[in-house]
Amino acid sequence: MSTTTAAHHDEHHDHPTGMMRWFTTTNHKDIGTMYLTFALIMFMVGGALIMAVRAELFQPGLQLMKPEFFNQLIGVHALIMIFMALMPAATGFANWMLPLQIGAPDMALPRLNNWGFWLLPPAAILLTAPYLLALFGIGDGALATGWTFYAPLSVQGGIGVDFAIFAVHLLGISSVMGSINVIVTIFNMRAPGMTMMKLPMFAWGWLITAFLLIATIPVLAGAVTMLLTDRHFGTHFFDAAGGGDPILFQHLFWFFGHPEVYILLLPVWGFMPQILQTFARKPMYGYKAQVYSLWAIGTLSVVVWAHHFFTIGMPVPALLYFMYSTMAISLPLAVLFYCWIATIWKGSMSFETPMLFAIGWIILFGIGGLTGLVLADVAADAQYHHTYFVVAHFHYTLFAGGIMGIMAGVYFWLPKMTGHMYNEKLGKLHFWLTAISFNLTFIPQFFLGLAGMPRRIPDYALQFAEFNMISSIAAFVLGLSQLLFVYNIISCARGGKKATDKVWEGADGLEWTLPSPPPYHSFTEQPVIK
Amino acid sequence: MARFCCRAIYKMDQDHKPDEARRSKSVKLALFFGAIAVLWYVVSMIVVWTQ
Repeated sequence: MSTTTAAHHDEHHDHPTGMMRWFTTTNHKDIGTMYLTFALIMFMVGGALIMAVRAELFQPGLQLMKPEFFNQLIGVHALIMIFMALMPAATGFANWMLPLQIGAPDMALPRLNNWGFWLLPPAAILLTAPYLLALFGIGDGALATGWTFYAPLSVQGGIGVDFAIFAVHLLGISSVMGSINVIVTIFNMRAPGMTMMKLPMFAWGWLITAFLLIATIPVLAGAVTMLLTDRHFGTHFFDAAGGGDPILFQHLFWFFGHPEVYILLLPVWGFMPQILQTFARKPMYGYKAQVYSLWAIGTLSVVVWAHHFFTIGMPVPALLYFMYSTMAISLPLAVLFYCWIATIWKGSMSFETPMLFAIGWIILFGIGGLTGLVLADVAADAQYHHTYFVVAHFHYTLFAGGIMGIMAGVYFWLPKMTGHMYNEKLGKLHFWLTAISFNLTFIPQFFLGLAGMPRRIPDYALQFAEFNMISSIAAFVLGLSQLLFVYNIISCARGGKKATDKVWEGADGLEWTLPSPPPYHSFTEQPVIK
Repeated sequence: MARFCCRAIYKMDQDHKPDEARRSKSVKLALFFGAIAVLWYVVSMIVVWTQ
């Protein structure tokens, strides 16, 4: 991409400093940094919760906690990882990189951007506060329904459900605000000459994500609002005891819940081809095919939701429709896989940490996708439903496909953001520890699921003991190895070898035309795309 | 109301003020998508209510 960019190196000092800078900032890079920092903190919190779960599952029998507390840990772990780690991390990248990649001075709606971020910390407090309140004898802890809020459990649950409902509302408002900002920025703030079909792939991934969020978050918000009225205002929308329909809640939840998977993954599918082409030193393969595939996946994702609950008993035509429509998603996804592999095929590859994560991501996310195809089969799903097979599948999708993708993005852009190179040896050690321990954690869970071990149960039969022990030990290695990631980021932010403007030899795009780190105001004159 | 919404969601650093037409289009687009989200929230509840 050739440009006539005039990057201005002069710093402006008209913005607040100290804490006020972070509370009042409307600068996209500041807000992006806050999103990414928040996501990292909540990633460690969510990880700590699930370490306690794996400690309990180390041996059969109840060891450390009551079943209610076990369920609370699982539900809050999921909500934190989805809404407060993965989504904010993707939004952090959007804030940092979208304006730089499309040649915009900032996001289109900077103050809305600030609002969007500052709704997140109160939501985190609301979600986790019931744990502390329970210590003082108030309530019975956080929500114990799993992240799905299924009725009637959620109708009957304690105050943790109310706190979680309010937290989800705040998170939803934040997400919609972020989405509006992304859409408006891409539609209205592109540099002259940057037509839609010249957009960086990351922008495409995020644009579709933003549309999905606006299409689905209001439905989740509506469902949990009505759940709140069921709990406190005498309505019976989902309470079977009063003539309500708990299955209706499942439909509403998964109308949001399935596209949510793609909301978490599409931004990664956007920037991953950029990482692959950088380290393969080749142009991206199949740009148009990738754009159309992203749209196809985004569109299909909102019409396949009921495959999450085949076992409730649906009419056969409905089962067939949801099975075939779910399987149809594998077609555009296969196109994406083909393009990713073709991008690196016969390239002059080098294996810096971002590339290691990217290659690992293709393989492991591929396993997540293929096992999803198995679950989409109605007959097979009858056996696998609600077993550890499902747990292993969605961790291959969301940890390998989502979080390891985000890690690739962090290592890719960290030198650009901080102006320093991270510790490459430590990065590679982090990758190998993560990849190996991740597989050792979740491959045993596939076998546990195939053998029939149900999920969300703190105790299990003796024949599952060995696989659970392996899984727990590996999970602790996986958790501890993330401390290397945190250390590497902090030490990189504090100093280190100076990063060049382009950072990576094969890097391509407007963000690499700016200094590392970019000045407080990115483009004082808009670049022109030829 | 429009001015309030404009102020609430829009604040560019002085150095980065884009032209008035672009700023106005940004706010209009934001209000449009915001209205869709709110409408969809209400419609989804009405649909459930009428089941």
